[in-house]
Amino acid sequence: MELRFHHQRQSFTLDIEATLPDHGAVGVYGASGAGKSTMLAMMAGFIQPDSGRFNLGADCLFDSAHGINVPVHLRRIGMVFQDSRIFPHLTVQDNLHYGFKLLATKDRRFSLQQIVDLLEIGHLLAQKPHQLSGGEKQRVALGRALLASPRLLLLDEPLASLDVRLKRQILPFLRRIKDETQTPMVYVSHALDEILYLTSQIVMLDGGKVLAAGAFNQVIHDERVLALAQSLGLENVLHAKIAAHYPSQGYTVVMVDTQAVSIPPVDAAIGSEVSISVAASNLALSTHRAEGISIQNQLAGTVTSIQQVGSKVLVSVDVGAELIAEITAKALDDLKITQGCKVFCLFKTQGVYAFLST
Amino acid sequence: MHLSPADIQAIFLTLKLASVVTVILLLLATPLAWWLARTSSKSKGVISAVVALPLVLPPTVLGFYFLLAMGPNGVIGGLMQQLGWQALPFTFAGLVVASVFYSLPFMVQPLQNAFEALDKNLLDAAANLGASVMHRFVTIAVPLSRAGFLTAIILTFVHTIGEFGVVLMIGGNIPGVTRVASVQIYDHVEALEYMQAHALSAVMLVFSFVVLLFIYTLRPAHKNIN
Repeated sequence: MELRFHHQRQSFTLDIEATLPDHGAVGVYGASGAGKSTMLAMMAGFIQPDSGRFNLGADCLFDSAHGINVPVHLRRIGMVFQDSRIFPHLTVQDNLHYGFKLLATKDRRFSLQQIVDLLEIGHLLAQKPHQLSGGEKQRVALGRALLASPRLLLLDEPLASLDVRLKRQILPFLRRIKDETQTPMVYVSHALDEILYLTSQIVMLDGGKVLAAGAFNQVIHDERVLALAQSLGLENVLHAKIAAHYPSQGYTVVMVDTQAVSIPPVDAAIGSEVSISVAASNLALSTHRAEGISIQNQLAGTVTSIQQVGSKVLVSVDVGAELIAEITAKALDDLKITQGCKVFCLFKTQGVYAFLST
Repeated sequence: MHLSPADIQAIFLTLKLASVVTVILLLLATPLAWWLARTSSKSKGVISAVVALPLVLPPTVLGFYFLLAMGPNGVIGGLMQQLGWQALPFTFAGLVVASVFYSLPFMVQPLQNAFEALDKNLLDAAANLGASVMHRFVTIAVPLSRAGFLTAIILTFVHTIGEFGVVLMIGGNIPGVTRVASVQIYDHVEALEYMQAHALSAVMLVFSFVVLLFIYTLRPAHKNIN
């Protein structure tokens, strides 16, 4: 899909130009006020840009030069909002059916049962929205959007109003949607770990402009991107497999490539996949294996790049996957590390945050 | 204390008038209230003021202008005569037209309030799911505004029943055609038939009280269902 939006409102100028893949998920990342939600509202048709163009596949949905502006209800672009916007006067089942019933039978890609099973909301069908928890509402909103068989699913910070525990419950459903429904997704968030859990394709927005777009581990080496990511809390997200549980000692061991990592206990079978995230600011570096220290995780790796961002230094280390550690300029001087050095990345068990991949 | 056949006739005529006016206003005022609730047009102020006029004007003023406009020498009356239609004054149709204007604010204002309180985000969500403007209105706006609709319908109905001045100015006092309950009571009093005036008045009083009681006690419970 190809989008070009130009929009001027008071002091805010939005000037977005991007070509996004037509398959899989794209994460749109940036600080609040960067224009992420406005961009989605323009794609869905809620806001008409002053000028620009938006093509989805072979279809042109908006083209100011040719006076084309397909109305919202004909775009077939699903959207899930931060506030679920479940219709309060309808049961869960009627909410799920709302868009589905408006579709011609040939356009229906899913059955109610498929979506209900996918999102595990069968027990909620007869309930009214006010009886649902925040997490349940978001699952119903996701189901309702999917049942309308959208050609593109837009997710506008769908987890922002949920607490950490609920986020961990919903994220795997989003991944399932991406993997099992083949519906292209644009996922807007200011939480990099959520995005990286879903996809490595990101668009970075800053001040109403596209700062960078592409695979995360490539665009992150752009200094401006790095500075932005770092200011918002840079997270490393690694894919791992559960290797062993030690419930009495309060931890689980997972394998990242060939190296073992201790994480807080998770409830999943040995061999199942997890994604783990560690904040760059929680990573310490050492030039040799540390002895007599309570920190459990010491991953050996090779320094691949060193970048100065303001007073901080970001060191990328290849430990079988890429980790970014945020250290001070003084620490860098003391360690005397350069590109190609062997180092150990240290982080506490409790500093790791695990998402199950269902 | 009993009601004479003429009293019963007046009551049925009143209920017929109120029903017809309520149905017509429901059809006319709903789009008007929707427009007033959503528009940012400059003409909103003018239209709102016109809609609210019957609230402050003496009904006789309204009735007087209607009589002028609809009479054979009036703008509307003259046109109707040229088309070969019956003139409106002193007919049931004339009463309906005048009452529609007279009761307009009682239908428009509760609906407008309900529409203004609607969460626009829900309408956006419905559009996103493929619902056209009309479908959004019927499936989202109407059910979520049903308390407003109930209030508007009841107030319009009751207010039309209580109408007197406009009827007298434009409808006169023709039994079975324009002699509604309020006019019938006036006639009884004029004829010093106090017992009959009392019987009909008591019916009106009890009816109005029960309806208002319904609005003020049942409505909050109704709202909770939403």
